[in-house]
This record gives sequence, structure tokens and C-alpha cells, in this order.
Amino acid sequence: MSSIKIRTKRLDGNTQIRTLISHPMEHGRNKDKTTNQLIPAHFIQVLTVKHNGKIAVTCNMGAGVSKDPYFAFLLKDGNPGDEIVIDWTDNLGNKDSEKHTIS
Amino acid sequence: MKLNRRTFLKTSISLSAAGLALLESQPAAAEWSATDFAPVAFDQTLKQITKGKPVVETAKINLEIPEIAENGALVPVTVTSSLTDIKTISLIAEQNPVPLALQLNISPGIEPFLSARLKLASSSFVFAIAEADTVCYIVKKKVKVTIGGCGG
Repeated sequence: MSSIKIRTKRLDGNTQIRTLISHPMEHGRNKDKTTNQLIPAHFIQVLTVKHNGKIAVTCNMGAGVSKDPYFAFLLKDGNPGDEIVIDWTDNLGNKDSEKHTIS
Repeated sequence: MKLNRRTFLKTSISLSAAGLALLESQPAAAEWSATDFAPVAFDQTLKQITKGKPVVETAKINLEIPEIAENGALVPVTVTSSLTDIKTISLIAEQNPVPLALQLNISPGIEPFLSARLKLASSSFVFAIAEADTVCYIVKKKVKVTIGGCGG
């Protein structure tokens, strides 16, 4: 199952994109309670949203974003049937991508 | 592999062409930079984000964030703006070990609107900085955190 959930909604000629990603977003200063070792940093660095293949949003982030990050963006126009692709890359090189069609 | 001068030139040309193509395909995307997201003092992060441009406080950016956050691990924040010429929006938490939380690049295809959830280590000011061509617009809001978001 993909780690990304996408919802879109048409709002006064714009399209609101909401996304929820499941990711630990560890900043590397938390300790594992059982082993008492530091949990290594593991966070999303870049999030991109493509609208019909064209990059609409690039969002760089650090570990100051909450666990299981939620984002909302507002796309100018956007029509039913348009394709939205969201992908992320984290500091360990993991990637994920999800497609969504505006309804 | 035998590498004489001719093949070396050919490969270097094709490599640089590939590099150019890669650059052209993503002109607007600013790279993730480790210096921006470094665990440094707030003042230094502010300098790096504003890039020496004059900083202007404005009422045209609306930063919605709760005044009292019960849980610092999850603070909802929404930034909207009526400014049209901004290129990036950055969110900075003054007291966080890594002050810069996120940076959104505004492409022509999107409205200056962003909603996200941040971690706040302790009660501090949260800044939203919008970078335009010649100036940086800034708004700040004080957030009181009753439980810290860093350190479990």
C-alpha cells in the first residue's frame, strides 16, 4: 500500500490538494525507550506535486514537520480528469509516489 | 577500456549534454540544501533564507496558528497571502533545534496557500517568510506549547 493519501476538492475555480503521508519524520534526537539508543534521523526532504506532468509544488522540509505529515496546497484552475502525481524523497533515499485523478 | 583523446572528448560532450538536459527539465525546483536545514541558531537561518534582502513586516500574509498548542508534536499551521510576486514561503520556529521547518517554492501554477503541521520544541515565535524579488516579507506569531514536541 502506498504511503500517500490524496484528496482533491474544487474551490471557486481553484483546486485544493490535501495529502497525508505516513512517515516517522525522526529528527535524530529521540531515544528508543527499550534500547536507549538514539533513533537515527529519518525524514522527508523533498515533496513534489505534479499537475498533468508539470511540477506545481516543490516543498523542501526538515525534521521540524510532524510525524505523518499533512499538507494542503491550492492549485490554480485544474479540471476534472486532470492527473495529480505526488512523490517524496527522504534522507535515506527512500521514495514513494502516488497518482490521483481530480474528480 | 582504451581511452584515447577522441573517445574522451566524445564521452565528456555527451555527459555534459545529459547534464544540461537534466538542468533544463527542472528549472524551478530549488535543491534541498543541508545548510538551510542545519541545526544552527535562528539568526543564521534567517540570514540564509532572506539572502541579505531587506526584511519587511507585512499584514498581507496571514499566518494562522493556535496561540496555545496543547501538543508541540503537532501544531497545525496555515499560511495564506494576497501578495502575488512571492517565490518561496518558509516556516521557521525560533526555538527549534533546526529552526527551518519547511520551504515551499511557489510555481505559477499554485496560489500562495500552504497548510501543514509542525513540531515545536518549546514555546516560541513562529515566522512565515515570503521571498519576493527584492524584499522578504515576514510575519510572526507567538505560540505557547504546553508539551514539547522534541524529545518524545
